[in-house]
Amino acid sequence: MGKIKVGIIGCGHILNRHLESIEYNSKKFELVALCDIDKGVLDKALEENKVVGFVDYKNMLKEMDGKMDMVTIATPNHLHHEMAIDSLNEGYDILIEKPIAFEASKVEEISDLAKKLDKKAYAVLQVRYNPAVQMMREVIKQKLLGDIRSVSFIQRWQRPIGYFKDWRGVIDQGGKSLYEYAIHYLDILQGMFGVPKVKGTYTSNHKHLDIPFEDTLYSVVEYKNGASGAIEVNVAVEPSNLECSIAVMGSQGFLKISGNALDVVERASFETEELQKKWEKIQSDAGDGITPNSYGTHVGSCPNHPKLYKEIAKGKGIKVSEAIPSIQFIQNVYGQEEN
Amino acid sequence: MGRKKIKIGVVGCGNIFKKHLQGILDNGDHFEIVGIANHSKEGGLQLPREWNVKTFYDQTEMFAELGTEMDLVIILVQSIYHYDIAKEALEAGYDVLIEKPIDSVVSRLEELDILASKLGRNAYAVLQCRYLPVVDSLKRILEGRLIGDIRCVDFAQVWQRPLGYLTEKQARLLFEYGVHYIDLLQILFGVPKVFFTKTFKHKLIKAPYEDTLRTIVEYDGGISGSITVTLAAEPQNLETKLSIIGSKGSLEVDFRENEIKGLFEDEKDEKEYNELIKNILEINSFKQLYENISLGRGITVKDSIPVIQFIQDIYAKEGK
Repeated sequence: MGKIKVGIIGCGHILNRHLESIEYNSKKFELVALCDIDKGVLDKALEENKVVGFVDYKNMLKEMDGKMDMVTIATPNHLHHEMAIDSLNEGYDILIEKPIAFEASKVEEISDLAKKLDKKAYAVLQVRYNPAVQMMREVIKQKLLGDIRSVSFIQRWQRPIGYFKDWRGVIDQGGKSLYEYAIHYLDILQGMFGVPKVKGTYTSNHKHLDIPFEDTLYSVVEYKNGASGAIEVNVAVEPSNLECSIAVMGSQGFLKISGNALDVVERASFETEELQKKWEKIQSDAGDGITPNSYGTHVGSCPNHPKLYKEIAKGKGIKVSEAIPSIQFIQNVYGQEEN
Repeated sequence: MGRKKIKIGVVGCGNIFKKHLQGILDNGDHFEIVGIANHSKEGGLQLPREWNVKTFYDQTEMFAELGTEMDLVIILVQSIYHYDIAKEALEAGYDVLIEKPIDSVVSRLEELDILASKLGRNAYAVLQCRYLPVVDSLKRILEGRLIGDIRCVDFAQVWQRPLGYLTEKQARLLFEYGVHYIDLLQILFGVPKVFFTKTFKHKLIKAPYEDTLRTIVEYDGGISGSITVTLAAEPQNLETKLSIIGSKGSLEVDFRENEIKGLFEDEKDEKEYNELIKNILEINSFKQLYENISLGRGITVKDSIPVIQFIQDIYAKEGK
């Protein structure tokens, strides 16, 4: 089988993650085209990547017919849906940055179309691959914590003033805070515990006062087995990221993964030695730790994009259909908003 | 000539009595126990011989027999009995010191306060966590505005308690277990507006009330806050932590470890913080409690009204 030929739409700050991933998986992938609406940005990207460039993605889709297999969509959030639909209709597989769309029904639309056209539609929800996350998932799967009683998610991040000055600060373009920077973690939560009932959501602005949505959000939720849950997402933190953690209380123990981006195990306590031994086995089977991406003024999530591409090459990428619950989760949280 | 010792009558000799006894012994020049009322007369601990303590089955008997030989009644029974016994003790002419929670209804605390004033008696509350050195350092850090304007205040009390621990003779979770820390929150930030509260039973299923509570609040000045209190953790207590996020930095107060960790934008603020946390020592807060009572500076029942109001407000917003 030949290499998967990739064209990327959007040459913003996440572009490098995708380029690195293609490079890392160069036996399986080949970059063939880049596209950005901003000619200057595109030209800069083309200087380092000798491929065909386009300012109009529709032209790219037409002109690359037969020369490109997959389109990676790394544009501002509000453009994802339309570009995904167009790319599928032009016969390409797609990989879409998060969030796929702001409504679960729109994600479903993409998934259904891909199925109908027999194309592959993948989502960039790469935090699933964090070793600490995988360890927690295994602990839940093996029921080492017993019955789950409580799940607390805390994301206390620092984002500089000006972070929202572009499309991120416009609701119709960036969505709101959960879509932009909490989606990975809500995806992890729903993957392990399902989409919960939301009991109440409170939002406020403490630092980013000129944006039309919150910089601080609290939500109280209840998962389907009756486990209580809390969601706290805060980007008004100073002077740096404080934590991004999931703490799970069960009838047989406690597990908390944290760090800047769910990248370390902070605490694991089990009721019996037998459970402790099983936990040690899970730890020893896990891969090495990873460090979150740094963007100069702030730190983001973990760099699992290469793994994401590797899995796609194996036909095991995260499907767009798998992204539906996290979007539904976010919709539910905002559906109970009061402030 | 030294001050006359304050003669104490104890009502209830459960676990908490040990701590009170130590606080009294640590202030032995000012206090002496003269009577103990307990449902079983064997409940008492070994007491200094020179005290000549008389024991009784109930407080009514103790009040009748000891009369003016006693000055202060300390009430350490299960919380549903606090109000009645406090009232009886005040009416019998004694000062009172009441374990937490005094009661779960603000108007009943107000009644006790008014009754004490009317009778010229002192009514004190056991809210000894106010004396923790970590609290004093925290107050100074906040007063010095070392982390700037406060944005968010999040408190989590994640404890383990065995099955059968909660009974109908105790008040609900926050009154009984969260009250000390919620009291500190109201001292530092005032009584907030409560947005919503959700309660859960995760472990102590047969208990008369929740073992887990989550609530979202907003303090004066628009400060956002969350409070989580649970007794359903395993296999042991996990944390008692307060996180404070400000415009120039963040603090994390660990009440179990008696420490404050801070992150600051400015070096100058960090230096000042380092000075303020240098001398956080372990202290016996019960010693401090009795010392202050001996000096007439005890925490009064009136002082404890805001925390009961705070908790009442939290439960008033309880949703299904």
